[in-house]
Amino acid sequence: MNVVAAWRNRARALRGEFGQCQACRRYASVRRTRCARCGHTMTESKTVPLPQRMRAAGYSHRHTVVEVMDQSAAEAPFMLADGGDGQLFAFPLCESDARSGPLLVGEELELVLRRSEGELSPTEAIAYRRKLAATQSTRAKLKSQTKAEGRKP
Amino acid sequence: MRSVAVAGVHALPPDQYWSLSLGDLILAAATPLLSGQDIDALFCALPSAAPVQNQADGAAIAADRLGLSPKIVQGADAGDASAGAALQLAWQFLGSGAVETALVIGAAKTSDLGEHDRQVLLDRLLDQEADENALSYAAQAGLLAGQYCQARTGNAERLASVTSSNLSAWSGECGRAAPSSAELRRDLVVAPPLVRSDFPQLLDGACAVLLTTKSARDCWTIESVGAGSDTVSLWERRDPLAFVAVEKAVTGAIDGTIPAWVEIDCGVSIAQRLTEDAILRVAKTKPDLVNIRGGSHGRGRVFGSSLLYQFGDIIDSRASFPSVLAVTVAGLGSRAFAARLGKSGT
Repeated sequence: MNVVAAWRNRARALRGEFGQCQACRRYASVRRTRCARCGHTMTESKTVPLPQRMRAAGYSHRHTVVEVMDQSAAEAPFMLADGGDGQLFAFPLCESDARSGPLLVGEELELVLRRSEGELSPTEAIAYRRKLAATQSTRAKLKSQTKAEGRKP
Repeated sequence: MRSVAVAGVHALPPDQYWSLSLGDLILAAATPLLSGQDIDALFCALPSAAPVQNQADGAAIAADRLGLSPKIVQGADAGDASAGAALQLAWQFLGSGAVETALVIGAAKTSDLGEHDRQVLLDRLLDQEADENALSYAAQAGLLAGQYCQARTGNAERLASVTSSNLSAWSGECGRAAPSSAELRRDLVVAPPLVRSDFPQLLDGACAVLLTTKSARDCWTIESVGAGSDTVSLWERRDPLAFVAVEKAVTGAIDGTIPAWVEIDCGVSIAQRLTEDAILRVAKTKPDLVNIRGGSHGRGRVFGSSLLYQFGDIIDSRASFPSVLAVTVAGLGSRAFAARLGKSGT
């Protein structure tokens, strides 16, 4: 882990802020001279908070390491989510929703701050990162669906 | 531009060479091409040297091991498409008349790493400053494949057919039965909807290509090399499924028409599918032949050297096509290189 880079980006990452093109409102996670969508200059662009709610557009998870069959222990789910104007964002899905990952596609998610995965030594500070999580209403909807289908939530 | 001919190709088949170092691999691949040759320039694609062997300036190591001191010794880094960048440099130098004979070498020594770290090598092709969300290459590829299936109203079967077709071409070479796409779908899930077979295996290897401007009959010549780049962060592109870098590279390499034979190298089947789509947008027609020996899916992938192995496939082949387009794609379409080869005297 690059400690200096993590520290440099920490505040912005924790706040969940990206740069934004002043012309087309497209978000950019890194500084560029021009917007990747419309080509408008971004030298004057400001960082703005990311949309708090997004619609899940896709699901995947971290690769399997076949040599050690390390699938379940290190499985890290990821969601692709639509921020509202068609722009897609890829974020980790919080652990509590991991089992529902594929069912969440099409549902509303919220951007939250959650503990970062990984082993920590007793002297290390707990790290946090932005993740996506199912909203209360999404959880309630999935629960009622699974109940109706007679499955375990 | 002066005409640039491929005077020779020599490669070590991709494998796990546990007893050979990176320098040994380079020696074994390049030495057979050196006899009686006066090398003016050396271009190297050794993108795994810095992260795996902690070795900066791999081109100097190659020149040292081979006992060469040419006018130009240059390393090229374009991640897993580095051979494309090295070849583009060589073609420009030769075509402009600055040098007469150039050696292009691509090599990778990755079997020193565990599987997890070999996959981390691919993760490093993503924009590390934008990668604050800690998504791996495989996970991004899985999300991209999911988007492709949604947008094209297809399913993962269409992706499996890419792998299956490559493995089928390879099986023709080695005389073994190839798995069907239905069988491939039952492989271990790596990043849904992608399975393990969708990712070509990363192996050790080295390949050297000797290029010259001296005229020769009945040989392959490099007619043009095109390159293109795109926003590295996949989801910040205007259209993540468009693979604009491939369109630019192919447009730069062709003279209006696409050869009927196309060789494609990518790190994952979804990238090959999107590369084929991008070529189709430029060409308007599908090529007759894609990956004569199954490309990297068949033989295995030597990180950053694939384009040179494709040259080997082309030169060894007896297929009666007058021209070929060889395309290599870095990461998930952040960069691409395309080389058009023609058979002289046809």
